[in-house]
Amino acid sequence: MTCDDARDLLEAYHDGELGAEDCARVEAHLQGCAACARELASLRALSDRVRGLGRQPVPDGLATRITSLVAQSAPVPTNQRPWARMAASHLAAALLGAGAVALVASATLRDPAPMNDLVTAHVRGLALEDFGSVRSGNPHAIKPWFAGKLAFSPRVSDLADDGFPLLSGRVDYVAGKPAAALIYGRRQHRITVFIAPAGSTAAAVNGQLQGYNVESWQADGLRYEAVSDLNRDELTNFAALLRTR
Amino acid sequence: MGRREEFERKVLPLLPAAYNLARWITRHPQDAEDAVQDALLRAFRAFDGFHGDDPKPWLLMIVRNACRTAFRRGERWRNVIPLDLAFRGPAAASEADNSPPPDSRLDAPRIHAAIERLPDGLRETLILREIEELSYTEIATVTEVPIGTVMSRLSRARARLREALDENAAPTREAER
Repeated sequence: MTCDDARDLLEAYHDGELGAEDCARVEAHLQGCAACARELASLRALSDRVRGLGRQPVPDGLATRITSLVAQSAPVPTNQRPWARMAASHLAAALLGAGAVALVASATLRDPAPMNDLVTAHVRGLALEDFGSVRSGNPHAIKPWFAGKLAFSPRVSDLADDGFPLLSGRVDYVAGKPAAALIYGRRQHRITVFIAPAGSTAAAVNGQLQGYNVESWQADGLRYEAVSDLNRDELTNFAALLRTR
Repeated sequence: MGRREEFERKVLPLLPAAYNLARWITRHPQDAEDAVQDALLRAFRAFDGFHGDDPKPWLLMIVRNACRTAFRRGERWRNVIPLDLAFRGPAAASEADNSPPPDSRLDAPRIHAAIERLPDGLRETLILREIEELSYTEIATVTEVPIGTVMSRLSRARARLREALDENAAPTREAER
């Protein structure tokens, strides 16, 4: 075996990927070739140094958060992949647009329907990002867009300075009533804030559903409901910031 | 045993491997955390479709895709930023780049920094081989490329790393390219 042949096989040899026959040939060559033996030693030294780094440690709380998200989530049968659910929500949105569906609002407190509606509307909005919405980082462009589309005037604030930039807005239907939907970003997460006149939806629906967190509050006769897959602490922080605006 | 118990027993213990890979791909702690959370939930929802013996390559493939999806979403979102940046000035643009400078007196930070500077494809291949100790076949599965590509990436990653770590080392054939 020549040095060139040996070098071609040396990394695979080092990685334990060679068959017995090739292993024996490489080892025979290494016996008599100091240069190739040095090359192998150098490969081993490099691997040892990289391995010495170990893994980067998992942040505190991540394991707990994932365990609890998994506990709340049911495995989806393999024929119901996210795209299938997205298609279903496209259909639902199309029907909504045609006014063919009347969502039944539930006024009872512990009924999960309103939270379901919020999460569904949030996911639907993300699936249809450019559908019937206004996209701008500028609240002064979004606010007038709602005029004439809603019977109330939602307060539109940007929280970009606090790391929650306003991305877009749209009109949605939650629990059968029109609501302004504002989309904020947080890293790659999206937060939808639904705003509707107070009293048009059921009372407090703070909580968690299918891995989504919901925070709600009322101010100036309007009801605010924030929905996101963002963790609870950051969503609470976001809600607190928005309330002070 | 229920599917959730099986998932918790077989897949959740792989969290350190999942986070480590995500951390090296995204090079950002919070992005890695978000991607891993997303990936584990996706994995759980898809767990009924997993029938292999070793879930590690399967999970790491989902993690890698979650990191890339997050990056693409981030890209799309970054397209919206410039108006905003015009407001806040150019200083805001460099906010993300806050990694500490490598300490030349210590070996580990030097190696860490050198790996971080490798191109994406070389970096993930090196980590999957050296830290996660996956076989060439498993790396090919995770990174969705042929085995030949895995071998050449690994070889190039090592050559570049040796070059970066030891300027006096004799250049290897790969490094001469």
